[in-house]
Amino acid sequence: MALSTSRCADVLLLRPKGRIDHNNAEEFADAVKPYLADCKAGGDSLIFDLSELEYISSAGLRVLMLVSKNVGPNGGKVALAQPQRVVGEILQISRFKYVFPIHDTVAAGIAALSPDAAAAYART
Amino acid sequence: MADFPARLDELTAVLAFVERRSGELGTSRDVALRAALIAEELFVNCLRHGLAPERSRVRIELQCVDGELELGFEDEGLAFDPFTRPLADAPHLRPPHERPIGGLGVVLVDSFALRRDYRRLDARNCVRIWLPAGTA
Repeated sequence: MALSTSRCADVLLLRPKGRIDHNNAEEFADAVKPYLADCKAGGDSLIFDLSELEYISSAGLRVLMLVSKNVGPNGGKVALAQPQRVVGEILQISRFKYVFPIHDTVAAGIAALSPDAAAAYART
Repeated sequence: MADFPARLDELTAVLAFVERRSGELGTSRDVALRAALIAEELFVNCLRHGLAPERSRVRIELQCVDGELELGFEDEGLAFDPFTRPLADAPHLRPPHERPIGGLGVVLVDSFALRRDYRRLDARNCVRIWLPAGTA
């Protein structure tokens, strides 16, 4: 698992790549943690771009739930975008659409969160 | 068939075996990933509940029969049927603000399975899962 980031205005894109399983879920949690404090009302929004994530088990879903529990009370907005087929099935089975919005594309996710970020993303 | 020490640091080897064997059986990459997920959740479940005794091993086999991929998983722990939890207790069915952070492993296994079977045989927990072996 590797995590890369990029920013479009007030939206931070987090891009996990590879696989998240019980062996490396803590590594994923540690990699995400520094970005949670600024995810709050009036602060950053987060999008997990899942286009390069091949596999996620319940250990990775647990980290996403922790993200929700962490930023929710502060009014932070988080969305998931562009999951690969099996990852999308896993999110659907576990009803994550009731935890985070799930968008078919990163562009749609950004547009739903921030017009400024959408404009910035369109220029990339 | 392959067997592995019942230790979390064997998970990578377990997943590699399941995906490689699925490929050998001619399933698609997506089917191999679903099978790997099932194997991971069963493997971790048997470790997490402390049911696998020290130095015990788990046994995993896969075969394709009539368009279905059959995954067999056996461990040497105390008798434990992972599918006995009432559906009403499933974490994903609770309102978002009440959802616990974990507990989705068996939900995922159950949802990907066409059928499943649990037996206690010769002091082993024997789980069999069948999933579609199609190309998608």
